[in-house]
Amino acid sequence: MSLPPPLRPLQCTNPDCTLPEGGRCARVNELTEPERQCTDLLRQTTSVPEDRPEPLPPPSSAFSPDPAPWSGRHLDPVEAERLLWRSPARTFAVLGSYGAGKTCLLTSFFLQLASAGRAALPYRFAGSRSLHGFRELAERAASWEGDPTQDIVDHTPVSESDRPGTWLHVSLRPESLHDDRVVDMLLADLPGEWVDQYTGHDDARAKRRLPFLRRCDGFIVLADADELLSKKGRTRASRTGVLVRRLSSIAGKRKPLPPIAVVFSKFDLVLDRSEPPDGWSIDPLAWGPLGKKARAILAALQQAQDTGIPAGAFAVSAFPGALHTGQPVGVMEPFRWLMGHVDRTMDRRTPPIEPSEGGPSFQAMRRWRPTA
Amino acid sequence: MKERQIAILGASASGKSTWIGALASSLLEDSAEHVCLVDVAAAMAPLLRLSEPLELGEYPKRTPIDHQTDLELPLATKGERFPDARFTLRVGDYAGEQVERLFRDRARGWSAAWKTRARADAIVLFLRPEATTPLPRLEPSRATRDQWEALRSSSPEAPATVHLKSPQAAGPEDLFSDVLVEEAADAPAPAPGEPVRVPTVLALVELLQFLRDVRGLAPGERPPTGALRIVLLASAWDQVDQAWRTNGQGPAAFLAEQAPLLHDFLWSNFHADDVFRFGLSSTGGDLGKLGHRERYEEEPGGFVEWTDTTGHLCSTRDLALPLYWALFGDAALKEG
Repeated sequence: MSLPPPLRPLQCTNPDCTLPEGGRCARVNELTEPERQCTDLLRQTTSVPEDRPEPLPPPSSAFSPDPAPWSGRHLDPVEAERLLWRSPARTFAVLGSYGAGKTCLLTSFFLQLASAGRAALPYRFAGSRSLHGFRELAERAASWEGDPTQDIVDHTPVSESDRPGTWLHVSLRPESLHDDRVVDMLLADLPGEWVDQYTGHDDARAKRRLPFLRRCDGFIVLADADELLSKKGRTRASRTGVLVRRLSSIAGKRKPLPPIAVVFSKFDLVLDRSEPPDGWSIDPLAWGPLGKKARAILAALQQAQDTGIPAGAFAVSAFPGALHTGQPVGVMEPFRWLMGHVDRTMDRRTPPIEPSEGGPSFQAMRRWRPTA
Repeated sequence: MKERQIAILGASASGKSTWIGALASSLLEDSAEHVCLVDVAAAMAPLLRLSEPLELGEYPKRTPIDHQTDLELPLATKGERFPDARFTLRVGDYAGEQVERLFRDRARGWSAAWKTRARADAIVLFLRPEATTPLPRLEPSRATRDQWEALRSSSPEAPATVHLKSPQAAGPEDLFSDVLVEEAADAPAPAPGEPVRVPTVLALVELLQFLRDVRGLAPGERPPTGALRIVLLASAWDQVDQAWRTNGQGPAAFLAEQAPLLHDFLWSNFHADDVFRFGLSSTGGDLGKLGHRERYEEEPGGFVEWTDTTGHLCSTRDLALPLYWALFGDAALKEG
């Protein structure tokens, strides 16, 4: 009896796939068991003649089998969890219905941070474990020609995976020389479908997908200003108001109380119909016609504020036009506001004494985690 | 005496070959003031390949060489100006597809050579401004009524200050490509269907993150002073707008404006004393222009510029100054 041919290594035709090297399937968001389901993934089955030795890999470093130290794309919950244990981390959930502009907001936020946005956010970029993910978003946004019927960035795909890659990450160092912290900011970029299901149905499945909400340090809820001023605006406002109330209920159980920021997105589309307030406001009168339509949202925010939860509403235009024709307005404001609240309420680091030399162990000892 | 390592990293057409070639000429003539070759034989062939074209008034040309090895130059300080020091200059030499795979696909290519390079005592990063792909620039500012008004009144056709990409784009796969490249060759303009390239600065930051990770440095953790120095060289410095080459401006201001993400990353992750920016013109002008080439043949040489702590723009014809700074820090900038 002849033995079956030896098991051959996996190969994948998708250039984004690192599964054969022990990494991640590029279609992890679509497939629960890539090794069985992915048609791009092949196991070479042609037998190798016994008398012909298998060709050796090129002896060059050019084809070193070691993958890059990290994928650089959206982080999955396990990768995100690891960062939570490293220095003070801020986890913010960015929530909103399909097409509300969540990913656009995050893309615009990163591009402004990359353009040294210290005037708008008093932190400086210190690193990112999802730089490749940001690159893909920026590349997509850069190719948008300004056509409002086209997507600026791809919608966050719905994943059935147990470990969906939904987190974007930046490390930030405060601009102030008296503040030596390095803060990891984790931003959950969730598919709108999940948020809608979570908002509309209190079923266990929708809840199970978002367990991290209970641990978030702050929330950004997006509502499309143009949609709010449309015929079905009140319905959208009601649903968003329900979401804010659900988040308030979660936030109310946390100490310190996590702030909730509502972002009226795509505000450039409604400037002819509504006036943004100076700064932020949850007073319906401050928002003109939009305030009337968005009463359910602003009322939910007011109720949250009455229970001590910091609540604010902001006008934002993340991509008022193609990148070569227009600048965003107000993108950094909700982030600045959230970070300000979290910084004020969470433990502050004592300014450290810089070690004169050596000291890796001392450096390691200095990495700490706040007692939230 | 511990031998130190200096890693030279930079895109193709970023100016590193021309710099090494110009440095090689002075090393071979033993005319460099404070540095000399230790082992001439070991480095002779690549040095000649780099220096000979320059002696003829041409930029070094691409030559097929072993793609898997670094160019290593064993050097030492000489004279009284600096303490005795032996060091090896390593110039990364990688096939483009390797770095492309590493940055874009992440599947393989993080080789032992990279990890060795991560242990260098100093890293010299070349950036040739006109050969980089910039990130889209958005204007970071706080929302004001004026901004909303401006947005309300702006027409969609009105161009703003955002720029997307340079006409001479170089991708991340070029960051660590062959040493012996045709430095002066213009990168071809991207075709209409060509994908937007990875912004050079993102790839650079990612690579620095990888190198720091090998050293066990957490994001934002600054290594002990002097343990890892970063020299940023803005090459083809003679080509930049003259306004940058004035007191109060200089390479530091120029690079901060051109690459703010990298600027912030370096600020956050290194002590200020461990990062320095120079403007470098290895040939003092463009050898592609006949007039300058004739001048260069008569009197070869280039210059290095930097701003001192008072903002004064300083200049030297000693092209090895960035190496001295990599070895000795700010002491290298004091008058000898």
